[in-house]
Amino acid sequence: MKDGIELLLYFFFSQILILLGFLTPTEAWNFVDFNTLGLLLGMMIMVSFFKRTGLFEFLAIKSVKVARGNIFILFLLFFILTGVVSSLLDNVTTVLLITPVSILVADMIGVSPYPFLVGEILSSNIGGTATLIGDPPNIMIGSATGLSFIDFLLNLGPAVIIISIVVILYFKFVVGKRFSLKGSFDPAIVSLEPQKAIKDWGLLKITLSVFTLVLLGFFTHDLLNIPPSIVALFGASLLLILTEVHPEDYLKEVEWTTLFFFAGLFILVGALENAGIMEMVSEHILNITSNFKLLVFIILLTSAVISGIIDNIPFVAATIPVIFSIMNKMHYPNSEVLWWALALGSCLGGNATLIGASANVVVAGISEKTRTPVTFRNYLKHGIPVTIISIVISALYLYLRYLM
Amino acid sequence: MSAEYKNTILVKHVMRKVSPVCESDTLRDVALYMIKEAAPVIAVVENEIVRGVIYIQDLIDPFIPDYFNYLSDFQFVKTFGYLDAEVFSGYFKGLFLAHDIMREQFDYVEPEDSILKAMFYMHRKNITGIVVIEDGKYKGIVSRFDLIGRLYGTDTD
Repeated sequence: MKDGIELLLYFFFSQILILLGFLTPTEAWNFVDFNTLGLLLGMMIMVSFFKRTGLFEFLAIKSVKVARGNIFILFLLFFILTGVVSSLLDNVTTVLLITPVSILVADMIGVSPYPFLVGEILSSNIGGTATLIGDPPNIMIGSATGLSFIDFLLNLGPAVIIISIVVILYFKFVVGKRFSLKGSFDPAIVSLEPQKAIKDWGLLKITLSVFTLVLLGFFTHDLLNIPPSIVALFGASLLLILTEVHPEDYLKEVEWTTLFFFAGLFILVGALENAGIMEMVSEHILNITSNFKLLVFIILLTSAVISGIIDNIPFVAATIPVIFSIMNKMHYPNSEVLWWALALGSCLGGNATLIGASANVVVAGISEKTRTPVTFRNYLKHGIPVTIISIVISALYLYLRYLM
Repeated sequence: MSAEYKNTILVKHVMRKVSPVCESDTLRDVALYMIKEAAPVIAVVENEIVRGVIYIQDLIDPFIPDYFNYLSDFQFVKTFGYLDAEVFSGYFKGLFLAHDIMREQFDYVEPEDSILKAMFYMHRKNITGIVVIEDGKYKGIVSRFDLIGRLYGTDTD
């Protein structure tokens, strides 16, 4: 979710650059990556359908039932649910749907919701790293490079699974000691009825069928030579047709500010590219080192540090042309690793601080008036260690799999 | 059923004089007073200036945890376990006075306004009553019951 001021700034400066002659209006239009915009739009529409079905509340309550009174199992299930959903849908929507249920359940059984909330923040960013559609940086990288859904899953998925396991162990042995992850279930929990969370079974069946089709499309888009955006937009259109609901009802849930933010950002980065700034940056980087292994780690570390402090989307948008420039100059074999380093660094770096990713801010907002709010300071105690662990694992993973 | 009303009915014909409360009044006192007066809304007045209004709903809202707003439905819940008791015990820790919950931005009507205006506000804002103010001074309230009484002829006037 992008705020209006950010959107206005990008648009204002992109127009200024056009006026100053850094790029023509046609060039500006061509710099807008409609594949990214289309993919975001299609997924936003599909997400709005999911919201109406109550599926995620159902899954969250089902997790409570499956946990059978074991609070750590419950934490684990919420963590996995958040991660899996985040890998397929946007992180903000995921936490918006799952976090309130986890606070409710924690309140019902009289334990602190804090470990659940922090776990969900971390899991949403980790899970989103695994796929092409999981996080905006991956969408942009995928669109710019033509790397497929399967490429992302096969190259980032294993790293994400390893990181998730280590983070779960961190919670079990470090956080679990400090926060109550023990407790007994109240009869209120036993009386929860997950099936009543589903608001419209008919809509759920249609949405799940179409989404399965869309996932199949993502898995095969490379073979079929169809861009992911078309797959997502096809799914969204199909849902709009099959549900016979007025499209305006769904289109109003599309985050238009986010889409315009991306458009403005692409123009701005395009102007910098036109002005030769990205070339200069790549030359500077290569002056520091042309050692490929070192370059991979520099990209991983830099993107993690920057993404923990500022929005990772503009950073990734600006880094993509720099990496292309480096690749053109050096012709490294196996240069694809640079993209995985960028994706891992920028997505996982968002876990470092509470302002590192939009999902973090949303969870903090929801928890604000609970007994244990997630604040900037208390989040750092877990955000920083988990990010360091994640980046060390990523570095080892990249080294062992691609650079050794 | 047909409503029989005259378009000359003004707010002053249906309004009730309900004494205002002060910013420093406790919520308990405010609640009991609103129940006694059957007033869905009450003005909070300080030095003859209306500082805000309190609706019955405002006395209920603080009991509801904030995060409930993010859940679309509660069909799947029967009882809230520990939360059932904790919400009530936690509530009065932070909120004591009328000042804490009063709405500082509010709609009002004047005694010479048509009751249609009061009806419009109640309909548009989904509120159960509205305060009547004239020249910055609090005059009374109009509730949905006051309007219905007049519109459907059960008023004693």
